[in-house]
Amino acid sequence: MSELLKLDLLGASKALKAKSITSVELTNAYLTAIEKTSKLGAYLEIVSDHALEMAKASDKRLANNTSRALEGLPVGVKDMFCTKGIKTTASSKILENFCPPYESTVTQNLWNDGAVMLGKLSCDEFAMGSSNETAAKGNVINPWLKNINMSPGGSSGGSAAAVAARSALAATGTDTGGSIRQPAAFCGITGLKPTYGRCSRWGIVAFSSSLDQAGPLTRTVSDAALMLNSMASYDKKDSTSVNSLMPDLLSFLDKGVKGKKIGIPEEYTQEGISDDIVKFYQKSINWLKESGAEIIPISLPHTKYALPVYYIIAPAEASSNLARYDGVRYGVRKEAETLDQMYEQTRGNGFGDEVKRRIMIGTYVLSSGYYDAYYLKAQKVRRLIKEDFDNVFTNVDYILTPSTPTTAFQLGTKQDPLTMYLNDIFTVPASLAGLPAISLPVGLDNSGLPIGMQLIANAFDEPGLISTAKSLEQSAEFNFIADGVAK
Amino acid sequence: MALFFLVRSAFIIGFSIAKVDILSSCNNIGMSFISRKLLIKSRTESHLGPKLPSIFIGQPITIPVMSYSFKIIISSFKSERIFFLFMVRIGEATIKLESLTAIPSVFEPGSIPNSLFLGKIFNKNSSGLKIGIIDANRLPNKVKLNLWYERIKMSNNSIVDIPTVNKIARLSRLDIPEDKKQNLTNDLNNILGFVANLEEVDTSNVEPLASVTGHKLPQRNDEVVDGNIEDLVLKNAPESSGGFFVVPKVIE
Repeated sequence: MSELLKLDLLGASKALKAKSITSVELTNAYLTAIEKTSKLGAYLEIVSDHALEMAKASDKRLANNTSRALEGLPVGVKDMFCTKGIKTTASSKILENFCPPYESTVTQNLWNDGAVMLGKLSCDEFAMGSSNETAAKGNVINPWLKNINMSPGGSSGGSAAAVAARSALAATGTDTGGSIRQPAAFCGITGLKPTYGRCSRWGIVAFSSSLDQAGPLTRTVSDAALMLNSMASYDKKDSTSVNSLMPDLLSFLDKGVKGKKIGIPEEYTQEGISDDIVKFYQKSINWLKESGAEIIPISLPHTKYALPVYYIIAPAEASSNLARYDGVRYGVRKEAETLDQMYEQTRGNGFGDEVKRRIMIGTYVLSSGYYDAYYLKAQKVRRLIKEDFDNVFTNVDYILTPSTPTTAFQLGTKQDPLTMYLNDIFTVPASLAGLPAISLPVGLDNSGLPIGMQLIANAFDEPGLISTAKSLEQSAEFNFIADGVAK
Repeated sequence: MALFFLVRSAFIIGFSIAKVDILSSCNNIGMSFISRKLLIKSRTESHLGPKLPSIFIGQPITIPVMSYSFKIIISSFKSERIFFLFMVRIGEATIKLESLTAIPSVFEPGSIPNSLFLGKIFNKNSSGLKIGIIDANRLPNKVKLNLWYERIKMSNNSIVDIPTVNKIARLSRLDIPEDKKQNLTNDLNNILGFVANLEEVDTSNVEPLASVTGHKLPQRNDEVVDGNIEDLVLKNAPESSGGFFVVPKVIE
């Protein structure tokens, strides 16, 4: 492996600023790595020329000491972010030719801070999935196991696989019910979903607007802090964007957990968790205790209703958001005799099975006669779930849970939609409550697959979340490297 | 509308706490011994106790086992704790989902499930044989399954049927091919059955939550902030003409 690829985001940033490497060298190393790891299928679009141009511009700034926070650092972008003049498909056939005439706020923030764009990363179609298998162009392969094709998780599967395989220094993701944290856990990297409203949703292909939130997928907690520093911003173009300044997260890296209270929810330790994950959950609790945190058992009694609430609210919002794909203004049209037939065939042909299922569920729960029984009921239970967290955060500072009930599963083994939905059992509650949460790798299971732990913080406490995660990261000393990195 | 599943066949996972060396019992005592023992226990318990029937609805149910076959040993994690799987064909029983992980799951004959078996699918408090439906993906990867199954169906005549699916598809403007409608109907019923357990939550004095941040939507002056970008607006249109989007004729 090239020495350049060994540097993490923060390390590379320091090396660039110390002028011991150049952005063009670094970018070239990543472009080569992308080529060598192409069989993983993480990238949908590679923009080599664009990347090298950006790298050259960064090198100029580095040379005259006008560099910015992410100057010269090559990153990948999940295909849910609109990128001006660069194809943005949301991994859907219906958008296979869509070339946005504008740039999403989050990616614009990255470029404004000097980051270099490598390309667009695969994901589940419209971010609906937990295995990256619903992508129109096919699944992505998890780089961890040599001989078995495991799922990288989803929906940000391409982002997670690329960071784990070192074909991107860092990547953006979006998280609706766990789409950053679950793939990060499956791929042995760090994934951070910020508080709802931290990152602008403007220019991100909408899935479930009350839940969607952008965040970084990185190798380390420090890298996540560096990325989120740039990604987060108040944006007038997103009416749910929150106007509250986020402090520089890098300054919280070494604050530790001494005296912090960590809640362990009894509802998350019940059934169906693999033995290895239970083992590392206990280890993680012990590590935090040894670092000076106080461990407090807590209860989040409505946890078991989180998935049912999610699978009403997310499809309902999706059915409404995806109404815009009508074959008139953009996207692939299927010609037909009448306007209605054109709509039906365009959508029937352009959307994949999982997307169609969710549109159907969403339409059903919003339809006349069922709205109160499903959608309104789900919104009420959502409040109870949020109140569970509000109550708990009067006693504790952070909550520790496993990120997923199992480690990565083999591609093609979960055929039944409900079985697939259960993957998000630990990540969905924080999404419904809009809370920031991070997944970081703490160990490997007996088949050599990474195990992720999740820390959840109160709204807008990303700084404390970073301190706590960093402490856990230092104790876990996870320094395994995926088998699939470019040799 | 409830979360009850009509089951005509079930994969049953035995969970014995007897101190038996599973390999020797496999070779010497034989499967039928264990399975018979468990079966008897299950019959007894289903008459007796609140434990086993707690996963069933209504009166305690004797599970009329029409036939059963002992299929495989799942694993012997510890010597005193043995998991094994066998399949029982039962009369019709209505099973309530006991936990989020006990999801009815259908797997194809001859499929080879991967990932590790997780265990602990059933309530810790119950003893002896428990009945539920297990997830194929949680079986150990060394095991080749060749199981006979019957599809699990929703009771109460299902929540949605094909005419309802046609109606939703129409509202959603989705063209669904005829040969996919039955599968889609089954999927929708499974999902709607799964979410229906929200019914049991008392929400009589709860306000619906629409915004987690709780902040008021900001307002701005009604002014044009962007404009004169007709070309950009039309750039991605499948068909446009003279500054307009073109659609099939809508007026006769």
